Amino acid sequence: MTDDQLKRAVLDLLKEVCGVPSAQLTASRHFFEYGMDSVSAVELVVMVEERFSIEIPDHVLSRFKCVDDVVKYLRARFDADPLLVPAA
Amino acid sequence: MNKLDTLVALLRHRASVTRERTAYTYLDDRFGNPRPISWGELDERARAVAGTLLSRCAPGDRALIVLPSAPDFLFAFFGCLYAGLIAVPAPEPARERDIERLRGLVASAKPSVVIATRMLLDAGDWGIPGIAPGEVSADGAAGWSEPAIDGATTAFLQYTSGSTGDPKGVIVSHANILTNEVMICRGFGHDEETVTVGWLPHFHDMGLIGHVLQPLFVGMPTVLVSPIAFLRDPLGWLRAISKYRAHTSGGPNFAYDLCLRRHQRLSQKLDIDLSCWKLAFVGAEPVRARTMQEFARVFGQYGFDEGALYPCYGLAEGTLFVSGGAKGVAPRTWERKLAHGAQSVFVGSGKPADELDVRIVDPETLAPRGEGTEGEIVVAGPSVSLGYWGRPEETEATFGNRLSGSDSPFLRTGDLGVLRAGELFITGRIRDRIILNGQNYYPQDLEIIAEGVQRGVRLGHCAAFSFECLDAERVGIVCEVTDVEGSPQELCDRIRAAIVDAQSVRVDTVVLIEARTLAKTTSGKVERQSTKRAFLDGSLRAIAASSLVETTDAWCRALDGVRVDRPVEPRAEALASAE
Repeated sequence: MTDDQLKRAVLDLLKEVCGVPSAQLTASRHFFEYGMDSVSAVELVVMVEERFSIEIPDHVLSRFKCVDDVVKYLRARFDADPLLVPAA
Repeated sequence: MNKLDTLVALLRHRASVTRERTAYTYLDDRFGNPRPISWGELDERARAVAGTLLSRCAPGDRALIVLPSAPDFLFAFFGCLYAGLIAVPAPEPARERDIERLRGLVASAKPSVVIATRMLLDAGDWGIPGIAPGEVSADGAAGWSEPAIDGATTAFLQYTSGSTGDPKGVIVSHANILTNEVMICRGFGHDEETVTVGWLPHFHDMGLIGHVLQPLFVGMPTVLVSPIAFLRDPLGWLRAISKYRAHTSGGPNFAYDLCLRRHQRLSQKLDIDLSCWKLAFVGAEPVRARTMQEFARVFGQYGFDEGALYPCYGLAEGTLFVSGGAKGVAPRTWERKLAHGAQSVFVGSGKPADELDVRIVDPETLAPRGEGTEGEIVVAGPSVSLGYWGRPEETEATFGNRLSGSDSPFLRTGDLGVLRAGELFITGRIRDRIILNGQNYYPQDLEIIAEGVQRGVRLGHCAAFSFECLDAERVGIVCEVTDVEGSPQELCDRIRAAIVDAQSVRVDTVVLIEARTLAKTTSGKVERQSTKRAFLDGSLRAIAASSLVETTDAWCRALDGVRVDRPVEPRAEALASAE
């Protein structure tokens, strides 16, 4: 899966949680600017876990501020363990 | 004859009379792997911790506890009490803001020891000795002897009040706790067989008084899980209630909302039976009628009874509980038209506990206000704290209020309310505290950040506040500006981004206003409530304003009539053009 595909997948999940139309979502903007808060941000990360069949440790859960952060983290996890990478 | 007048006496009693009975059962983050703790084990661990602590501290010293909501917290907390120390629980820091707050706590409480994980102890220069749970020697248990304490002794300090730079520790005595537990036990209808399930953090008053100390008081079994487990899987909370046939469980309003949202996304029904859940308490933040009605409607299909919903009102300064609903009766609501035209539905928080004297008074004169008239809620009684640690002036102002016709000092809650036929309805807040998802935030913390964004934002000339819109709590900040560098619109965005970054608080609306137009007292203090009123009724002299996509409509309504000298770009357009 390329970074671009990862980004698009996470943006889709973001849209599900915050309800903002895709055209208005940017990967670098803080989640909160889309009307989310720390509770819905955790919701989003849990959806990322389910979507990519990956377990994200608790202390990392609340650290993601934007889609770019999530993509960077996923990329690092996939690089470290190629077996984790989902089929595109 | 030993009176059971302290938490230590109570735990010793339980450990002696029902040593093997399970007191607390902790589940892991996936709600599995139950780890039971008996009264006997808790007593033994507390003695061991006390022994280790007393080699470094003297009775009356404070011990800071920075641990997750897990067994080690219990051992540390009771260990402090067994050593005759004053416990100071605090959340583990996750962000910059939390570390700063911890430093403020240390400066205020001046603890002589900190109990935390080895990783956290090694992470910074605490300046005081630290003990990690794994480093407690079991040997201390044998040599332990009862501390010289009684009901009047301070058990712990609650630091949920006050801004980051100015935290205030509420002094809570053993007697405060025990009298409050009596009130909760009566209102909730608890006995030794009652099962509770909980996920609230142990450092928060509702979690500590409700899930850690109420079970000890009653001698009833409790199943606990960490707050993170709940946030990850809110429906897991409901599954646990069903599995363990819990009678009591609850949380802030947002927890019920979260369950509703998650349930909506399910493709099939849950396999749970909530008919056992007789007491669903709701507290720590305003209770919303719509959430209560929806929750009862949606989860009714699983046997949940609307009468289980139990809105409560309380505050740390009152230990925890002040009033609670009528068990078995659905929450009562009351509709009222507000000053700026909006309609509001208030949910009743029940009748105040019998032992408390709760009155509604004029916030300026403290003169009594009649039935059905709004005023400040004041409270007197045995569970009201004696004051803030090391803050005699604030203590006098908050806790030492005299009303005509009563000898007791009254606590000024800073909350507005109305008594209708004996039921308390919370209608607003005088104090400037902001509550989001059950957590306290302080305007000063947000204002300082805004002021630091650019020199054009005038120091000491910002006002942050919360306001109600589209059935949710929103945050607004109004800043005086002069000689703005760059576009005012961009400055609004940067202020919002800076606050989100530092405080993890979403600011829905940022308004920049002309210099020297912010409401201030004669002594130069910013008047946040007046600014909020001007914001809501449109009399701010705004240069620019910005609101978030989600609240665009709300913003238009809230700022209806605001004089904006330069055109404001709706957020949606700004975003689209940025891509």
